Amino acid sequence: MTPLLEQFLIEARELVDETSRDLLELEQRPEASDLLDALFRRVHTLKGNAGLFGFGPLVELAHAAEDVLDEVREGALKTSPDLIDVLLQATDLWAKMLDSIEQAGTVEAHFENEAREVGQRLRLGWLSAKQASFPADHAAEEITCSDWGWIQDLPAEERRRAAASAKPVLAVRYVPEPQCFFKGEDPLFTVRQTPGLISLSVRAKNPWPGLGEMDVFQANLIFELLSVASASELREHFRYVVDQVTISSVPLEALADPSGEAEDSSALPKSSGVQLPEAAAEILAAQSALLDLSADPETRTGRIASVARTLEAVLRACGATADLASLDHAARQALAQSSAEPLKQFLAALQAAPFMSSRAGELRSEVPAKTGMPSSTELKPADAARQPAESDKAGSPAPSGQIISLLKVPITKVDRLMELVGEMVVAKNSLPYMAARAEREFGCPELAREIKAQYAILHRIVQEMQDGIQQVRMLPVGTVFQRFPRLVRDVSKAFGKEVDLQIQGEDTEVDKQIVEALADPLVHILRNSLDHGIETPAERLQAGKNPRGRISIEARQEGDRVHIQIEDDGRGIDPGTVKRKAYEKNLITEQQLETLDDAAAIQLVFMPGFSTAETISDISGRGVGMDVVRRSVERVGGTVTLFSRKGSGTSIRLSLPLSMAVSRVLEIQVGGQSFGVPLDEVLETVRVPLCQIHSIGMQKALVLRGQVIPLYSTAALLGIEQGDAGGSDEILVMVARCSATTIGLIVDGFSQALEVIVKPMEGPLAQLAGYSGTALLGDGTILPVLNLKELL
Amino acid sequence: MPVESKDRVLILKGVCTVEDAEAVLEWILEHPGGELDLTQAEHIHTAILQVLLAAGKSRVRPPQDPFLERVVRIGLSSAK
Repeated sequence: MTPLLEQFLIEARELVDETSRDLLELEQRPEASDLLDALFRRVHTLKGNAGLFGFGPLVELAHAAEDVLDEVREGALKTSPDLIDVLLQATDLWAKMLDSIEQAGTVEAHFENEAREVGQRLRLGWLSAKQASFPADHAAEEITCSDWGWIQDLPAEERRRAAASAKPVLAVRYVPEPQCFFKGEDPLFTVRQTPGLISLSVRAKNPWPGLGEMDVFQANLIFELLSVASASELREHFRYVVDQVTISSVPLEALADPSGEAEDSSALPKSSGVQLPEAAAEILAAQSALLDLSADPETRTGRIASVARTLEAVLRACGATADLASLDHAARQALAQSSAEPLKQFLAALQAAPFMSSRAGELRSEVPAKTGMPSSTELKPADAARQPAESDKAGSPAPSGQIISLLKVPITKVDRLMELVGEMVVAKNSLPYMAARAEREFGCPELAREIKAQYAILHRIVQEMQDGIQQVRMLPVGTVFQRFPRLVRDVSKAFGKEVDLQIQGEDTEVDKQIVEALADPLVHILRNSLDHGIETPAERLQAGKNPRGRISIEARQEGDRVHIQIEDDGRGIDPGTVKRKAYEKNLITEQQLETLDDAAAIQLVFMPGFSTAETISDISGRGVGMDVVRRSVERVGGTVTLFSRKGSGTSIRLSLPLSMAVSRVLEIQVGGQSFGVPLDEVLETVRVPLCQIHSIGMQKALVLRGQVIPLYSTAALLGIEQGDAGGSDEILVMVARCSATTIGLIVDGFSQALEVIVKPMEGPLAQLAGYSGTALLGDGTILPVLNLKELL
Repeated sequence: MPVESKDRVLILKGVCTVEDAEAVLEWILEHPGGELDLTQAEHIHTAILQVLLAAGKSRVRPPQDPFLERVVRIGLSSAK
C-alpha cells in the first residue's frame, strides 16, 4: 500500500465516522445549517479523495449523497428520518468499501451494485427529476479560490455583467491535460458550450516555446471562466474532464472594479493606497531587498513566488485586500517574464504610501544580510500564484506557509517507539547490577557510585520518555462512545423503544490499547440495556415512568484508573429470575438457589453460559454473554461491577487502568525460581507460624484478623518442587485478591517490586495457562508473570 | 481543407480541426511575416488556438464569430 493510499484511508475513515456522527446530530437538529455545511463538505472531500484513486463505487455513492445534501442545504429538501436512514446506509457502505480497499487494495466488485442501489435510492427518493437522471460518474472540485487576479484582466463590461448578475457567479478553472487532444477532446469547444458563460480568459500554462520547438498536439492552456449556471449544471457540462476542472464561487469583491486601474489589462498594477502599519513596512523593505538580489533563473522564480506570498500575507494582515488582485497580477507577470520587475513596481507603489515611506527607506540597507535565505517554505514556481486556494477545504493539506500543528502518525510507529522505550527501561535496569559488580567483583566503589549516578540520570530521562510516549498513545474514550448514538438509534428503533442517550466525560483519556479493549464490552453492555433493560413506551407508562428511557454513559478518571459507568432506568435485573435460570442451566445447585442473596444472584449473569433473554434477538443474545464482557475487561486489568434494582434500572461500572504498558509486579521466589505477580492483586505479605495453619478437609486455610483465607501452595500449582523451608516453623504467605475472593499463596520468598513491561507469551507458549506473560529484567533474566485467576 | 494560403495570408474558414494545427504551424514557420485571416472561421480547435497564441498577435485578422474573437483577443493580450 502506498503512503498516499494509507493517508487516504486514515482520512476517509475519519470522514465517514464524522459524517455518520453528524447525520445523527442532524436528526436532532434538522435546521442546523452549520451541520449541513460540515456534512456536505465531508462527503465532498470524501468524494474528491476517492476520485483521486479511482474508487468508482465510492465516488458514485458519495456523489449521490452530496447532491442530496446540497438540496437539503439549499432548503429544497427537508431532512427526514428516512433520508437519514439511507444516508447512514451510505456511510456504512463506505466504511465497508474502505475495509475492502485496505484489505484488497481496491473496492471489490460486488460493492458496485450495492453502491448503485443506495445511490439510486437517494437520487430517486429525494432528488428533483432533473438531477436524479445525472450519471454519477464524476467528481468536481469546489474550492474557494483566492486567486482572482485573472478576473481583473477581463473586459470591464463582462466583469460588470457578472457583478450585476442576479444569480451567483461561479468561476471555472479548466486546465486540460496535456494529452487531451489525443482523446479527441477540444477544450475550446467544451468551453464554448459552457452553460451560463459570461466571460473567460485563456492563457498559457507554461511559457510558449519557440514556434520551432512547439508540439502542437500537446495542450498547454488554462481556461478560466465566469458562469451564472449552477454548480451542478457546470459539473454536468464538464463531466468528462472533471479531474481537470475546479469550480468555485466568486466573491463579489473579486468582480468589483479595481480602484483606479485602467481597463487595459496591460496597465501596471497599482496600490490602493491603504496605509500599512510599521511592521508591515519592515517586511516590505525586506522583500524589496530580496528582489534586488541577483539570482539564477530557477532561484528567481522561487523567490518571486515566496515574495508574492509574503506580500499577500502582509496585505491580508493589514486588511488591504483591495490590493490583492493587483499583487496577484504583478506576481503572475513576474513569473511569466521570469523577472522581478513587475513585483518590484508593485512593491514600490505600496511603499510609496505616505505612512511608511521613510521607515522603509532606512531599513533597506541593513536588511539583505538578514534575509539571505528566501522563505523556507519554497513553492513550486508554477503553483505559486494560486497556492492559497484550498486552505478552507476540509481535509486538504495545509498550505505550505501554515505551521502544521497536528501530525497523523500510524499507530505502528508509536508502538515501535513504545517497544524501544521498553527495551531501554530494561537496558537501563542493568546498570545497578553493573554497579554492584563493580563494587563487589572489582572492588571499585568509586566506579560503582559513578555508574549509579549515571543510572539516576538515565532513569529520569527514560521515565519522561515513557510518560511522553504514553501520552501520545492516549486516546479519549469518546472515540469508542462515538458509535453509540448510532447504535442506540438503530436498536431502539428496531425494538420500538424510545431512548435518550447521555454521554459524559468522553474526553477522559486512556491508553489506546484500553480503548480498543473497551469497544466490544461496551457495545455489548449497551445492547443489553437496550434489549433487556429499557421497556417499551407502553410498559414504561404502566410502570409510571417517563415513556422515554434513559441510558447514561459516564467516564471519569480516578487516580491511575478510569471508571466507566453505564446506567439505564429500565426494568432492572430480577434476582429471582436470574437464580431460576441459573439453576435450570445447572450453573448453581439447588441449595444455592435457596440461599443466594439478591446481590449475589445478580452477579450470576457473569457466569459463562448464562443468558436471560426470553427470545434470542438479533441484537443481543448471540451466545455472547456478560461473561465475555467480564473476561475482556479483565484481560486488560480491569474489573466489572454490576448493581441493579428490579424495576428501577441497572448500573454497570468498569474500572480500567489508564495504561497497561508498564506494570508493577512483585517478584516472588518459589522452588528456587523467580516469578512476578501483578502488584495490584497483592494485598499483603505475611509471615505465619505453622501452628496458625488449619486444615479444613483437604484444604489448608489461614485465619488472618478474623478472616478465613484459603491457602494454596504456589509450587504445587506450578508443578515445581517446593523450596526447602530450612526447618523454619514459619511460612511466607502472599495474600492476594483473585476474582473478588481473597486467597493465600505459600511462597519461598519475596524480592522487590519491579516495574516491568509484560509481553504476552508467543508461539506454543501462548497455550500455557497460568501466565500472563514474561518480562525481561535488567540483569537479562526472564521473569514469568503469573495470572492468578488462570492458575487457580 | 478549411485552411487556404494566399499571398502571405493564411485563411482559416469554417470549423478547423486538430488535423489543421500542424499545417498552420508549418505555414507560420515558413512565412515569418505572414498573416492569419480568421474572419471566416467559425471555430478553431484548441491546438490551433495554441499555435496562434504562441505565434503572437501582430499576425492575426480577428474572427467575426464573437466567441472566437473574444477568445483570441483575450488570449493574445495575456500572451504578449
